[in-house]
Amino acid sequence: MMKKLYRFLCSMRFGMILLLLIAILCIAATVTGRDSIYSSPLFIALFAMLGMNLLLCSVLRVFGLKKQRQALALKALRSEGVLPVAETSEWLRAHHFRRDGDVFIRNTLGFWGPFLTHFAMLLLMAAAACIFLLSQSEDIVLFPGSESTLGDGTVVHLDSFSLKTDTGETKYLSRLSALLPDGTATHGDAEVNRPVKFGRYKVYQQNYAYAAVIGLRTEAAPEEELVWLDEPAFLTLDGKNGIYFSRMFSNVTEQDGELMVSQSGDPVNPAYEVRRIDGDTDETGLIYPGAEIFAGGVFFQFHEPQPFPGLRVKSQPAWTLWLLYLSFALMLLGLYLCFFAIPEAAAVRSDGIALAGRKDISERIDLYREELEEDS
Amino acid sequence: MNTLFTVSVALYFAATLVCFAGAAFRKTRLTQIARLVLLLSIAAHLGYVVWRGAAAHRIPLANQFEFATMFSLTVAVFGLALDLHSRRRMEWILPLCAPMAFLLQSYAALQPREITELMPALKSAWFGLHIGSAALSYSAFALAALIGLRYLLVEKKAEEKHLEQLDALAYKLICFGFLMLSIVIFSGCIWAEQAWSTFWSWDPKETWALITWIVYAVFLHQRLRMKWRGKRMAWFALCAFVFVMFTFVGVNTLMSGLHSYA
Repeated sequence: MMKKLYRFLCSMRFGMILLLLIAILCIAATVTGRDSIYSSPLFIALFAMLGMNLLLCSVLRVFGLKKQRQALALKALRSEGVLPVAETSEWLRAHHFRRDGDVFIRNTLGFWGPFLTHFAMLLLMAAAACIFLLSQSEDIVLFPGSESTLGDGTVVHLDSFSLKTDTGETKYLSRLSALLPDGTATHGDAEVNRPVKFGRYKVYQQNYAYAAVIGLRTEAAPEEELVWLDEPAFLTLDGKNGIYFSRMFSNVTEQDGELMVSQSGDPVNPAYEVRRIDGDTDETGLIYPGAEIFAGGVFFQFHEPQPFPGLRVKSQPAWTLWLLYLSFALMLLGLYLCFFAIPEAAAVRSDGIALAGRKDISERIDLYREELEEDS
Repeated sequence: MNTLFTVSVALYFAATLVCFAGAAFRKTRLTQIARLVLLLSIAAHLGYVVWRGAAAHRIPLANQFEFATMFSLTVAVFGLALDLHSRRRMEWILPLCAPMAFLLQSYAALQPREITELMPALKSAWFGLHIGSAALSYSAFALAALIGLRYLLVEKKAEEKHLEQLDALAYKLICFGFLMLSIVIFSGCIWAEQAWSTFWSWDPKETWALITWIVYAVFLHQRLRMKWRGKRMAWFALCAFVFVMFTFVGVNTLMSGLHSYA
C-alpha cells in the first residue's frame, strides 16, 4: 500500500494533476477576482506537493541517465530502419555522432534536458519561497524636502520629484539622498524600472499623486513655510482657530450654473475644500490656488497642487535574486535541450547505419534518407 | 502611411481568397499567385511596422493594436517561411496562415491606432524581448492550432505520411511556442521586479500566461507519457489555442490589472 502511494506521489500523472489543479484555481481566482485564493493553504499546499513530486519524479532520475543512454544504444542496435550509407565513419563525423561504447551518439547533452528543466523548476520554487520569506517591503510617502527613517536607521530624503524631463518626455524621477547607519551620505535617482540602492535597501519609483500645497506665515514670522497635504488636516496655532483642509478637487467646472467637481486625474482646474474657523466665523467653501485667507492669526496662501512620488522600499538578500535568475537560465537551457537536442544513436552495420532516437526521430531519418538520395 | 496598413489588410484578404481557390481547384498556378500575394502583403505589412517603429522611436509593441499587427505579421512570415524553406513543399499551409493573418490584422484595425508616448513603466530594456517573444509564442501556437485543424479536416482522406508530417510540425511549433512563452514569463518576472518591486503579482495577464504555460506543459508531458499524437494532438492544439487567445484578448477586455495598458 505504502509502495503504491509512494509510486503515485513520484508519478508524472500526479504532477500533471497538481498542475491542472493549480491552473483551475488560477482561473477561479481571476474570474471571481478573489485574490485570497493565491494565499490560501490549498494553493500553497499544491505548490509544495508539486515541489515534492518534482524532486521525486524527475530530479532523482538524474541517477538513471546512464541507463537511458544504454537503452538508446540498445534501441539503435535493434533498430530496423537502416540508412544505406557507404562511408559510415565519414557520415557519422559529418553529422556530429561520437563513439559511445558499441554505438555512436549525437546530442548527448539532450539527455540532461528533462533533468535540467525540472531541477530549474524546483530551484525556481525554492527561490520564490526564499524571496517570499526573506524580503521586506513598505510603501513610503515623501514630499520634496521631507525624509523617512527606515528599519535599520537609514534616513532617506527626497530632494525633488518631477514628472517630465526638460525635453517634455514623461519620466517619474525622484532625486533622493540617504544617510546610511554607518554615517555614509549618498544620493541617487529612482525612476520607474530603475530602482536606486541605498545600503541593504532598494527604493522603487512606484507612482505619483498630487498634494495640496499651502504656505503659512504670521506677522511675527513673515517668511512663508510650505505645508504639503495629501489627507485631511487642521492647520492652527492655538488649537481652535485656523483652517481645516478636507480634500482637493483636481477639476472644478461650472455647468448650467452648477459646480461640477472631480477628484481623479491630474489637476486641470484645481480647488481645495476648506473650512475656515476664526472666532465666530465658521464657513466651508472652495478655495482656488492663488487665494490667501486669514484665520487664527495665520495667513494661509494656497498654491498650485504639486506632484509627489509613491516610493516602495524593499530589502531582500541579493543571493535570492541570483538564485531566481539562475533557475530561469537553467530552465531555458533545459527546455532548449529537451526540444531541440534530441539524442540520437547510430549503430554501424554491414548494410549501413541503424538509427534510433530518444524521442520519435522518423522525420529526421527521412531527412537523412533524402539527403543521401540527393548526394547520390 | 496608414495606407500601407489598409493595403496589407486588403492584400491578406486577397491572399486568403486566392489560397482558398488554389486549394479548392488544386491549380499550381493559383497557389503560386497566392504565395506572391501573401509575399506582397507581408512586404506592405512590414513596411508599415517599420514606418510605425521609426515614427514612434521604439519597437511598435506598446499596445493592443501594435501587438495584434505584429502577431498577424509573424503568423504570415512563419507560414510563408515554412512553405518556402521546407524540403517538402507545404503549400497547404498557405490557406491556413493567410486567413489567420487577415483575421488578426482585421482585429488590429478595430483597435485605437494613434502613436502615443511610451508610458514610463514600458521604457525598459526588457520591452522588446518580453513582448517580442510573446508575439513569436502566440504565432507558433496559432500555427500549431491551424495545423491541428487541417489534420482534423484531412484525416480521413490524407496519406499517413502527410498526417505524420502535420503531427510533427504542430509538435515542433508547440515546443517552440512553449520555449518562447517561458522567455515571456521569465523576462516579465525580471522586468516586474525592476518596475513594480515584485517578481510576481498574480496580475490577470501574468496568471493567464501561467495558465497557458501549464496547459501546454501538461500536453508536452502527455505526449511523452501517453503518446498524445495524431487526432488527440490536433484537438489539443486547437483547444489550447483558446487559452492563448483569452490571454491575448479576453484578459485585456474583461479584466483590469497591471497590464491594462496592453
